[in-house]
Amino acid sequence: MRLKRSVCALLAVGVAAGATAVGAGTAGAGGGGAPTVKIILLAETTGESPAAVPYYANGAQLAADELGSRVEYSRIAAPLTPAAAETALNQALDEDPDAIIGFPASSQTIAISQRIVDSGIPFFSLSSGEQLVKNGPNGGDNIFLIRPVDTNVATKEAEYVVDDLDAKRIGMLCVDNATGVNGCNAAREVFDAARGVEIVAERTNSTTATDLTEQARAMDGADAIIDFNFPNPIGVFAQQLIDNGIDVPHVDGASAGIAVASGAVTGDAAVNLRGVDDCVPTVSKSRKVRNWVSDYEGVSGGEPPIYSAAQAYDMVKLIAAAARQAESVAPRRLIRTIAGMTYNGICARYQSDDLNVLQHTADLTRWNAEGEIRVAKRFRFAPNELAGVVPETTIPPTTVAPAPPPS
Amino acid sequence: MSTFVALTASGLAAGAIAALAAVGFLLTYKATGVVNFAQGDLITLGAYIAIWVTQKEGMFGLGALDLVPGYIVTVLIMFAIGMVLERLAYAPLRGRSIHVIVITTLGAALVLRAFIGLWQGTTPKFLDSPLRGEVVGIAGANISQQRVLIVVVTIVVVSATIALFAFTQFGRQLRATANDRDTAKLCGVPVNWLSMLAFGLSAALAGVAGILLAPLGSVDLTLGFNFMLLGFAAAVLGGFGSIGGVVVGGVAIGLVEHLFGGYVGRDFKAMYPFILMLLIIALRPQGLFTRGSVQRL
Amino acid sequence: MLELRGVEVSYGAVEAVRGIDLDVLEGEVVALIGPNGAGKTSTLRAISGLTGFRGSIRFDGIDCRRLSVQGAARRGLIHVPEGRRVFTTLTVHENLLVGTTARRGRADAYSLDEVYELFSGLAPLRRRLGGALSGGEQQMVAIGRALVAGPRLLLLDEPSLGLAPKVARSLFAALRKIAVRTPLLLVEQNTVMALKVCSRASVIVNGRIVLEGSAAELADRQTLVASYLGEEPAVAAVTSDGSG
Ligand SMILES: Nc1ncnc2c1ncn2[C@@H]1O[C@H](COP(=O)(O)OP(=O)(O)O)[C@@H](O)[C@H]1O
Ligand SMILES: [Mg+2]
Repeated sequence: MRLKRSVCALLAVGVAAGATAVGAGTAGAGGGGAPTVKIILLAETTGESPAAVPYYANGAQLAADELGSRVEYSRIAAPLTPAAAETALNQALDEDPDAIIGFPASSQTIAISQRIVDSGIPFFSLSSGEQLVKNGPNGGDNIFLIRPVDTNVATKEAEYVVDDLDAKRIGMLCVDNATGVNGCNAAREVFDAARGVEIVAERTNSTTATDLTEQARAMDGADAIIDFNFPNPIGVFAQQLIDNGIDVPHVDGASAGIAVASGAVTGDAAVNLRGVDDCVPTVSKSRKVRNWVSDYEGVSGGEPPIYSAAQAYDMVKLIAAAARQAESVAPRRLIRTIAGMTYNGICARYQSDDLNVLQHTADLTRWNAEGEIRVAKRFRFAPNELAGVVPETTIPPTTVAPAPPPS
Repeated sequence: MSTFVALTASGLAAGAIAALAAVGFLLTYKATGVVNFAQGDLITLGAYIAIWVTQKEGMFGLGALDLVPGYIVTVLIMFAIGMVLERLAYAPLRGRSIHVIVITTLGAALVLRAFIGLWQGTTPKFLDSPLRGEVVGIAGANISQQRVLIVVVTIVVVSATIALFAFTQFGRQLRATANDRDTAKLCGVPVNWLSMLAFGLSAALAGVAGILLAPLGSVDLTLGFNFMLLGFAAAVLGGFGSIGGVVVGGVAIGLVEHLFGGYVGRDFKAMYPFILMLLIIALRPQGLFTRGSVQRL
Repeated sequence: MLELRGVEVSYGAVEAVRGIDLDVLEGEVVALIGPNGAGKTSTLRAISGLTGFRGSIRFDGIDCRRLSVQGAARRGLIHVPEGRRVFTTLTVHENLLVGTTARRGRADAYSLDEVYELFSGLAPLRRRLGGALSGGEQQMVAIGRALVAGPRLLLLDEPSLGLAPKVARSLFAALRKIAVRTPLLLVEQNTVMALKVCSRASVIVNGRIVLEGSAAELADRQTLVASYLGEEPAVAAVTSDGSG
């Protein structure tokens, strides 16, 4: 622990030194009234946890580099267990930050939400479990949800199946943890309410399943399949649907993109698959986003960004903009400013609603047989709306989706 | 009928991988008395090494190999890794209590997994197979050829291992070492070298399992863990006795999970192999296929 | 060919062997006789490298400390351990095959057929597991396993232990045949039988050699020897089954 602390301190010093250097080069960029805002990112980049991905850190670092002396940015590795997350949070609080961006997994945030709320420091949640909305069991004034709420996304997926795919006979597959249970519950409500729609099969699978023959064959007769799952089982399932001659649209959430990107899903399996991403920067037509993508690839060693990189970048920028607008980094003023402002980022246009949710769009993605992605539809979420029932329990789920923050 | 056939095929394929893991367990257990709980992460490592040698710039930038040569190189690398692991992690455990050994091998599993995470990242990857997307129709069921391959390769590999054990001097020496290490030494048997070879073989088997398993979906750090558990259950069923016994145990486990689990209480099917294992431990601690008793772990 | 000088073996505070000198020359059969706990097994284990020791042990002029257990075996120093220790999960034939490991091209090694000839009782049992054999059969396998290794010196640790007198006698008959070709260091409590095979003998008590001489000399002083072994003289020693 001591070692980690000193490494972090070193890192902070290094970043500060870098910031100073950049600041000197772009003297005056900070402007008169804008105070330096101290931002800490709580996320792992390497390690064995599925949440250890480079996107958050690369995105945030890119923004910090661009902002120069206006931000003092550092990152603390926050392992996946709630206890380790709490340690990371304590380390962050020791450094007296003005804002914290953190925790890829809702299990981390939910477990220590009280501590976050008590600190009063603006906290930008990388996960979007509905428990974390402002008036939810684990929410608070100072907790902002960067991403659209999971169950809202699940509801939109189900509506897409009914309205756009015009499916009447639906098969469901739910991974046997919070991602699957909450997603399927939200979707089932939509199907139950829709006229003439029938759920012909509902199955579960484990997160590590490598054979979903039974599940795939059970989908026979469905004209669309909705799936709330992890990337690995999606790869298995998509292929086994094709193997068993079930050639119908197959809708999943953020894990679908990871499954296809891994190379596990190609051909008809890829063509049938739909996923949902908060945004897909690499296929944006906007010049601003395209430039950003190439800047990002400059810091990532050529690895293309996904939505989470854009969101981490956007949050650092948004916080700096709020500090400039508020002319203060005092927590209450920052929070009030953020709650009232609109910020046009790379991933989305962010505007806090009464639930403290910042982003209100998501993209439905599709692929061709070669696995090339395109955005097929944009979902828009009405502010202040929460689909489904907020789970009462405040006990966090212990499993997390690989790579994309599940909730 | 076609469902029955499809589920049987699934059960056999899963059972085959479990059997490979179980034979891996048995090899090191017999040769060194170590129940190596890192077997699952060795399976994962095998898949990642195969990805490493067949994709992008290949290993150490030497260029990507074609699939089949890449698989072979992977198995050889795994063999070497197993030998090194024996020296680094397991040789110091010789003669220690079973508790120390269990904790240490679990520790080795975590170290391996962390290493893979640092090396390859945590974003899922994919290992291709020459049989990708191909199916065979059997009695109206479409069985992916990869699963058929799993069963065939397992039969070949396990038969070869059994033959190695039964009919070669290496096999006799290994069994002698397992039976009485000191006396094997008195007979001039190079027991340390044999332990290394046994670990090498065991890791190579894990590599084979990883290579076979990976193309079914995508590969992440959890790939092998589940099969380690299934393999352990299979080994328990076989009473940690003969190779034949643990292979039958593996197949039993695969069939119970997929065939039984395909019809009854589907949501709990992942539990069935372990319920079976617990039943066996309770009713026949020496395993299904061993006579006499074994030390309880 | 074997030379022990001031050899001491201790297990923690227990001093099992307290400085013994012993020689086995080419073509010789030397017996090491002593009661239970005298340090006989410890001496043999020190020679073959299974136990650490102080002092010096040389085999063919080579410092045994520089040899591994297997290295000593490969050089022809073959140890048939106390309690036979056949591989119980291997068949008789497989036991013998494992025994050939240390042979290393020594042409004078017994062939498997020669072993089956010498111990004709084993021939029908080739496929039987070591664990399913009687004590006498196991001892034959243990010695056969040593013979196929091509021993240049055979260390035998109480081969008659636990055997019925009749079985022990036939075993010693075989040992006499073996001794024609192979030097032996024979550890025994069965003095009478041992003295019939050996050319010289040493009596070890409490880790020290208390008496040594030619077989004939010791045979003449059987009463003394027996008293060292804590036994009734002569007759008792012959019929002793060694289980004491
Ligand atoms: N592994 C051991 N640990 C402690 N003491 C031992 C060990 N082996 C033998 N001893 C002791 O050393 C002494 C000599 O034993 P041993 O060499 O087996 O005698 P022998 O073979 O003549 O019966 C005995 O007192 C015995 O208890
Ligand atoms: Mg003894």
